[in-house]
Amino acid sequence: MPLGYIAKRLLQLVAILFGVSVVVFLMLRMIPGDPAQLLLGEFANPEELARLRTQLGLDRSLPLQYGIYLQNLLQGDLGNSIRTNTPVAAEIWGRLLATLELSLAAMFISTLVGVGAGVVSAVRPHSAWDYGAMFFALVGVSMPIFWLGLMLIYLFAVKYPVLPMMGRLPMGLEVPAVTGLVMVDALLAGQPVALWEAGRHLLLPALTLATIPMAVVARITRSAMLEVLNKDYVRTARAKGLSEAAVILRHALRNAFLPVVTVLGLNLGLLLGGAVLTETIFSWPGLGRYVVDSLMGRDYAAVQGCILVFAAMMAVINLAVDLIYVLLDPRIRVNE
Amino acid sequence: MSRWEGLQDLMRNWSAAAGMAIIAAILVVALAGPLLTPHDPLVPAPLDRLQGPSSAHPFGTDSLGRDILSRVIGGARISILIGVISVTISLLPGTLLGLLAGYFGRWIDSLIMRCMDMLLAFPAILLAIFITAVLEPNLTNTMIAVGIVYIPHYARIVRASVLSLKQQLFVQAVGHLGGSHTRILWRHVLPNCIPPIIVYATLGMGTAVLQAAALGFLGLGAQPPSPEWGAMLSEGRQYIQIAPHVAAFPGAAILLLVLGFNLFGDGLRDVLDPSLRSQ
Amino acid sequence: MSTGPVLDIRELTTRFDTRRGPVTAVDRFSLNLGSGETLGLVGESGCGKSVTALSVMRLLPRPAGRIAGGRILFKGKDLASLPESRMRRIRGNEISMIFQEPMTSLNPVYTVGFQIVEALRRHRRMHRRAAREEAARMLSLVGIPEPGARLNDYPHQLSGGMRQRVMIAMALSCRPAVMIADEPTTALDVTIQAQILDLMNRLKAEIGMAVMLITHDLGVVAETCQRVAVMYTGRIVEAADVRTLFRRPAHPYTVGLFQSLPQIGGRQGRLKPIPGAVPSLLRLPPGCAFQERCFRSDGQCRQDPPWTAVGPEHWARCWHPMEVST
Repeated sequence: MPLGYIAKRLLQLVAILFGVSVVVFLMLRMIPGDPAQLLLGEFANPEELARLRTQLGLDRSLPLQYGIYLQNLLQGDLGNSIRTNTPVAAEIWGRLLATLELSLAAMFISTLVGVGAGVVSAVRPHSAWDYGAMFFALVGVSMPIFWLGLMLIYLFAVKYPVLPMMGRLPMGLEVPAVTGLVMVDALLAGQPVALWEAGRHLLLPALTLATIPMAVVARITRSAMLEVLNKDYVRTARAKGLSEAAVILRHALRNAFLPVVTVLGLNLGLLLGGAVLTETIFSWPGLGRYVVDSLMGRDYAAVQGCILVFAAMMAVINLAVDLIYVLLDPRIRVNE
Repeated sequence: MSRWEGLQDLMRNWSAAAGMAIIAAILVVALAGPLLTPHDPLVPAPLDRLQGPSSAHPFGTDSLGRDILSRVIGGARISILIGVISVTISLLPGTLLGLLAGYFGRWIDSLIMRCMDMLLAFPAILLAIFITAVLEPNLTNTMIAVGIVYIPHYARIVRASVLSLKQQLFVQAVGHLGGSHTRILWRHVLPNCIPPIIVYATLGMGTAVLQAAALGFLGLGAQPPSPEWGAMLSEGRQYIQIAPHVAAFPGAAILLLVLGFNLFGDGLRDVLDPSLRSQ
Repeated sequence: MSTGPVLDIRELTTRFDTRRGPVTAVDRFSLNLGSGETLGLVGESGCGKSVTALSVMRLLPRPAGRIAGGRILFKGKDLASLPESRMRRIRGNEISMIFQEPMTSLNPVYTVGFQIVEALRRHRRMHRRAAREEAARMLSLVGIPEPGARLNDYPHQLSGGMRQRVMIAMALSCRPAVMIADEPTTALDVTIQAQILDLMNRLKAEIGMAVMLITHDLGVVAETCQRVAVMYTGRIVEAADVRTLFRRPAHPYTVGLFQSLPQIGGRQGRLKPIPGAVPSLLRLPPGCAFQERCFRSDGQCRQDPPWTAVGPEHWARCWHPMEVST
């Protein structure tokens, strides 16, 4: 992969993050009221308010204020939470990993099932399977996942209590945090019980979060595969005497992956957004729930930090998608 | 293709027909609401709390004893209103921005589209949550928030069709004949952008209903005692272990309405604009 | 040179289901291909040449197309009724095919080497290293310079002519007994066309295979083929050796084909296009499909014309073939 291309994209990433930081900075200034008062809440004492005003440079010009803000940001200082009075950055980090674990699991499920269903539909178009799968996919994209989550809880945790309702691990069970991803930590610590329990806790929220991306991926995979299966090189592959599995998986799917990857990337935003709802339903201690709680508690430092992190994640993911794209398609690889 | 043929194609497309049927049914329910509701959707009946579905209350009752069927019917009007108003809020400025960006190009294009990119850098629901929380959580602000979030989508779509249109000769020809910009935009460019806008707006209604319900569910949208479906779900959530029907019916209603918009939108796309099919 | 047919097609009929009803794209097609022979299959686009080739390969687009009748005998087996798994062992191995569009016939995401090696490993059970060496040998055989380096190229890095050479290398890698070439040079520049045809002629002798060359270009036929069959609306209307067909075409359609060709160094007469248009396969007239455009047709042509011997090894499907004196 050409280094120049990566460098160019990294530069763009920096530019986007810069823009996002401006928006997040202006956010507090756009809300009517004194930013220091907003950050410290209505019960702050005058000395604290005065200290924060100086710290934020509220008496100075807006660009200078932004400079101070950016300086703090680059040092990893996102301010303190008014609810816990601890640094927001630390609070976000732990929750980010919980969200990451949930999102990765959902990503895995949605890609596996979505691509699988889409390929089978494309190989047998207009079959009963195809109509069935595409109907379910349409229901999937129309799904209020907060409702689906509740119904799953009722079915599998209340009516037939085979899975836990909420949380990441049963009370009293703990694994030493190394990566912050509970399943990985359980594996690293060699605790099969914890691994099993973590998996059980992850299943329903991951399934809920995976629903919409799964449906979107199934639809796009089907249409991409239908297009690719008509290409001349697929006919060439058949003329070579390859097995149908090799023709479909090696020759067709590899090419159909390009649009699928793009859509997967676009849907990561959907996934992160869905995390807000899923985490609320399953009391999953992630960033999505944290941002809602912070908003409700008027904890603006925490809100600012979360939004910044979410936007940064979106930007990084988009970059990753583009790089995967380059890896998948040799035509781009050389032209760049 | 004449209008009549287009309509025939639409009816022959089963997806469009099914979607239209669902939307029409919900629309009738929404309009005839007060005539249909067996009970008052807002008045509590403390003696009838959390009853399961029965002949008196086909969908059961909620924690205040209100008839859930009546509330779901009452919510239909709210949800359709949310869909229409939110989409209008994103469609009008989005279309205008897209027209300007695509038609004038250069720095106007860059300025507008970079601002749109900025909005798109945030997950949609997060942006909507933030806007409602800042404005104060209620139904009106929900519609405004959901509307603002999707402005960039319309701007992008309209800009793309303007750009492809600009390549075609006739706009250039009109330009050479000395038509004013406004006239060219209004008479020649805009009409050709309409099919993709219609398709996207239909699908967008579903998305808007879903997002607004999500906000309601999080407690940031319509406030109690409003029978907005998302807010009803939020109430029902607390009773999921003892009375799942409280959450089940409003959620199913959301799913049905959104499914209707998506079916209709998919069908419209196949008929109006086959080139969009792969997206 | 020919020692009995290697491919013997008898009464092959191929149908397609279309929205407006079933269409017979190939109608009772009979032809044999001697080993080591090059046979030209000529006709306008849509006459069923390519469908014939895809029928032999059993690569008809599913589920629309199917072989509705007849037999395709290859080494004593009837390909028309062979199970798919056994057909797969023949495809690309004993019978291979190259296509008209070299630009799109190679998979853009795999290297040229990978795509040739794939066939070798599938049919020859070769090890990776040996297959790569063989692939390089094939590339040098088709005249590609620096074959070792080219193995790592992606298709988009090669020109159209080079890609067609790669296609040929791929098709020949397992030393097939029969190669079907469907308009192999149509998409290429004229100078490249000649190179590719030369190459095919040379390799055919080297490998000792039979070639079925599908083309609409009579010039190509004259240069490469020993025998020719002319197709019109799914049927063979005339078959003969090249020399005879070019000197004394018997079917009025073949005559029309020649008259509509510009002849270099020939009489500077006006080109005479065949009047009318090819009838739709959905609405063929009864009897001879060419009757409406034919200057010799009469009432008899509404009956199915017989397959008439008009000379030694020279047949035409016509009630009124041109007088052929021998």
